Amino acid sequence: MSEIKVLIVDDEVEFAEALAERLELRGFQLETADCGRDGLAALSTGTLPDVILLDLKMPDMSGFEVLVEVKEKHPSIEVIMLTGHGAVSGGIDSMERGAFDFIMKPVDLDELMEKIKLAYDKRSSTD
Amino acid sequence: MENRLRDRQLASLGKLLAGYTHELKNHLAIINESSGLMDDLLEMSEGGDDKLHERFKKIIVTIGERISQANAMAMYLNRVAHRMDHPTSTFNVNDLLIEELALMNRFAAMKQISFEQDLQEDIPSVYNNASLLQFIIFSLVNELLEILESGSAIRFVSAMQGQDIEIIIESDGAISNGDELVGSDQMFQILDFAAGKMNLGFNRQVSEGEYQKISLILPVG
Repeated sequence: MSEIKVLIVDDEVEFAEALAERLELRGFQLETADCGRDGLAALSTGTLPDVILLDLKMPDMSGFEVLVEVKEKHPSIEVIMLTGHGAVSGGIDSMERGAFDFIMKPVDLDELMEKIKLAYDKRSSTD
Repeated sequence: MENRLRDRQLASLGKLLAGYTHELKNHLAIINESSGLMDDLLEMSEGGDDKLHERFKKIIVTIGERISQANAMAMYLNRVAHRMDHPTSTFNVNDLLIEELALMNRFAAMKQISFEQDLQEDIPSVYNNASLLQFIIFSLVNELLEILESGSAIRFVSAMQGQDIEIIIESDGAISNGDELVGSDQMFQILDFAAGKMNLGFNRQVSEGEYQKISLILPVG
């Protein structure tokens, strides 16, 4: 599990940090960014993540905008959208724009880990 | 002008509801992860007081259960608010009924009236005005809650009747406040108008002080 590198991009810092710590305890390698621009900046320095957990609604850039830019510059990075919406439409729209999958907040950790592993498997098979 | 004012008021309420239920889900997500992290750290801790450990575990489970309930409520309210964005959409009548019952359960509990449901599983989705149907069901159930005695039950049934979906709302409880029935005539004129807009058949049976059965017929095609 330790080889899976995950970047969480979410303006809710407490959410991102607690989730990052829980995933780290389960063997993932984590980084966090608290806005879309910082998330994109993190991709230009250091090692690229395998999977990005990306919040749909952020004040500086929307998750959609970040997603499009990530897929343009790093198409092999898989993105899982985090959405707080009651409807699944935002998640489905994201998948049409290249996201691997989406998950509703509050997240079910087991479901999220399963999605991360599947996203990682897809990335590994296309590398 | 009066109607336009009411429309604007309603739209502003819908926008507030949609925005803040989304915000609420963000708070619930933070509580959920913090509580989960606390659980993880507790699992990792060694030694200490076993009884205290058990108590913390129980508290964390309670927090998790309440998060799930609050999350479901926020999700339902969010859907109610967003449903008003589109006059027509494809929806499942059973999902709408389950959502409505969950949202009205508190009002029923306050009057010690219980909800029962018998929903046919293979009901097809329909393309119609979900928001209007939800309003009609809310108004009908709200009226029953006003007039029925404590201890009554309201039963919700969905079933296919040929090419139509029939929704039955019925109660076997005694009517404790008959005056409310007189005042509800105006409400039923509004509901008849609403039902006409969505091609919904509407039938209400009231027996002397005892029994109410309301049948809604929604065409699938």
